[in-house]
Amino acid sequence: MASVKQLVNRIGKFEYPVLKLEMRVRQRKARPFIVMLVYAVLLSATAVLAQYMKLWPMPTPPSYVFDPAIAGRQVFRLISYLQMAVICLIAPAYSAGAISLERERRTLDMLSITLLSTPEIVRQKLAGALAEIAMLIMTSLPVLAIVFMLGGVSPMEVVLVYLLLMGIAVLLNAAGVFWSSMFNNTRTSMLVSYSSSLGYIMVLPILATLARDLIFYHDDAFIGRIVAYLMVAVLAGGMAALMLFGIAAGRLRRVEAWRVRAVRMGTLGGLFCAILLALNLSGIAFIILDAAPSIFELPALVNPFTSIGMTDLHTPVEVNTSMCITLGLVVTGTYLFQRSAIARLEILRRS
Amino acid sequence: MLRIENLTKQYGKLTAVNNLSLQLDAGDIMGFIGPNGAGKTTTIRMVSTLLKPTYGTAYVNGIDVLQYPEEIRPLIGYMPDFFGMYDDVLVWEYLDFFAAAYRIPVNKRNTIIDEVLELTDLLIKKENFVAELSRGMQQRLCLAKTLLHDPKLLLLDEPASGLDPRARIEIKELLKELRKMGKTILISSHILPELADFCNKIAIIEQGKLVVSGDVNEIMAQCRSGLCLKIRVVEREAEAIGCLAGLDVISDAKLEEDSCILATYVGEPGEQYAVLEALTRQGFKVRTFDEADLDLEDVFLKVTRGAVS
Repeated sequence: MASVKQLVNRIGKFEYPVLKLEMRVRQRKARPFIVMLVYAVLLSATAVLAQYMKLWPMPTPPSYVFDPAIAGRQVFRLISYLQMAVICLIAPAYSAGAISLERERRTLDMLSITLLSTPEIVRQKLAGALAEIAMLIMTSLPVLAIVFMLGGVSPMEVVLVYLLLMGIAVLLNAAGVFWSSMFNNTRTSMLVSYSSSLGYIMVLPILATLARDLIFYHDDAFIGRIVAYLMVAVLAGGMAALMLFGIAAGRLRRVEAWRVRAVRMGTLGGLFCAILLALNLSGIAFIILDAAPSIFELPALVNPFTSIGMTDLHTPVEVNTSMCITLGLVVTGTYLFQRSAIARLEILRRS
Repeated sequence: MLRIENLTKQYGKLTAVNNLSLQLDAGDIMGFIGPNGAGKTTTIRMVSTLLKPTYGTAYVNGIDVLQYPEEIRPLIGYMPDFFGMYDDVLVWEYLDFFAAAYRIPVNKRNTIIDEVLELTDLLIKKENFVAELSRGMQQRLCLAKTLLHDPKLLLLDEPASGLDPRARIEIKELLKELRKMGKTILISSHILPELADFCNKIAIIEQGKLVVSGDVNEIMAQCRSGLCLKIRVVEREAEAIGCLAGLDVISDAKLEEDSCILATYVGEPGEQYAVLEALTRQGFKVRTFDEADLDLEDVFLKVTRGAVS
């Protein structure tokens, strides 16, 4: 208890000047309020309309009688999809200017010579962008009351989906902050942030499909397993090598151009490998669990959109695996992006 | 207070700063003079921990800038030559942000912000948006931000560039105030009259190399190879120049744009009256006869070759 108290005290005493400034500047503009209004109207309209639509096959037999539980489920799923889409659209825009704008405005020098540490600056910038998205996500809570009124969704499912939404927001924001530290120009960083966001949503399921085909469409299940193990070994080895390369290059302080390139390469390579590794780990997990047929669902398991709908049609094991994979990706990706943004800003502060 | 040792910065084949060494004692105000592109900003950025030197280092209060940048930052106040402002932020919020970033305790912050605003004559603008301030006021606000944590050494890079004459005078008055407060200042500029009034030391840099540095008066004395006489005559200036050129004690005489004759006197000190006598004897009507002071501009022109500009 004492340590919790100490931690709370420390957090309370600690100041967050960058976060404070970010929030101040953001909230003075009309944009967040307009976005929030449009978002709330859109969600409410969806919630009302979704009650009378039949969009997905539901576990309950179809009936001409209005079933509140089915309607509630439908509303919840549609709202969750919509929220995920909005987050993917908005997160890069909110964070892609975090560092590049400081450079464009010529305020980075003055920020750099303050006593704030580089991790503090990066984390507070990230928190600033996240706070705005968190507000948007919270806007949806009153709309969710309709779902609870209709029923059909357990509180645990709601918590899981909101955790997923927040997780994706964190990951995309961390990517945005990282890209903004890599480019001088906010327009470029915005473009790359949107591309990486799109890559996560679109390219990842395609890669998952490829991985599934490689593993499953093989004459012999045994060879399939060998291929899977080999892939994991190669990817894990590659990832470890890239990380070591990044660390080693980071120590070559005199060769600055090398360092920048190394951080960039190490991060991209590391991230790519981490994603592939995560995909294959799920494959391995299924093979080990002797649940080979479920491998068909692999593309769905790594897609945050399908993760939302998983709770309807899949077993708890599959749902949990899907959640774990997505949240695992979020944590790994966020950590990598954040560390790389810190390394890059450290270089910018003392170029 | 500040010791720069063999500071060098190379960008590929270009050497921006070449083996520069300087020393500033506590309370010194050094004018860092040089044409555009001479390496002034690069030097100041290296001292302020923003740029890593290729070779050499600098010490602030005996602490190595290269090795302990975190320990240097509380000691220095850096004002860049070009800087931006955050939009949608009030003047006091802007200062509050930097005060928090310099870890000034919350209970002292308001008093300090009011003090620096008063010093920079911006107290009346405390509740205004930063973007609404004029360029001169923004420059003063940036200086106020630089003073928040009471740094011992101020590194001011072209603090009066881009300002109108009035704003320039205001900045100059402010710098005089800082001198009274006993701050050590390294101030760069290429507008020399700005610095002449309040610097006790100067360093002249050209093409990254230090040309001369030291006490202002000593350097001026070194540059003074002869006494300069300013003479105005009523009509016949060209003939007067011919007459002056014929005198042994005058090494050089030329006509300036404002019909003033500048003649270099190389005779015995205190015997300048002989020149006046010679002129009147020849029938020239001398309107004024005076000794011209050597200013910073003359020193600068004398010691630099103007290779960069």
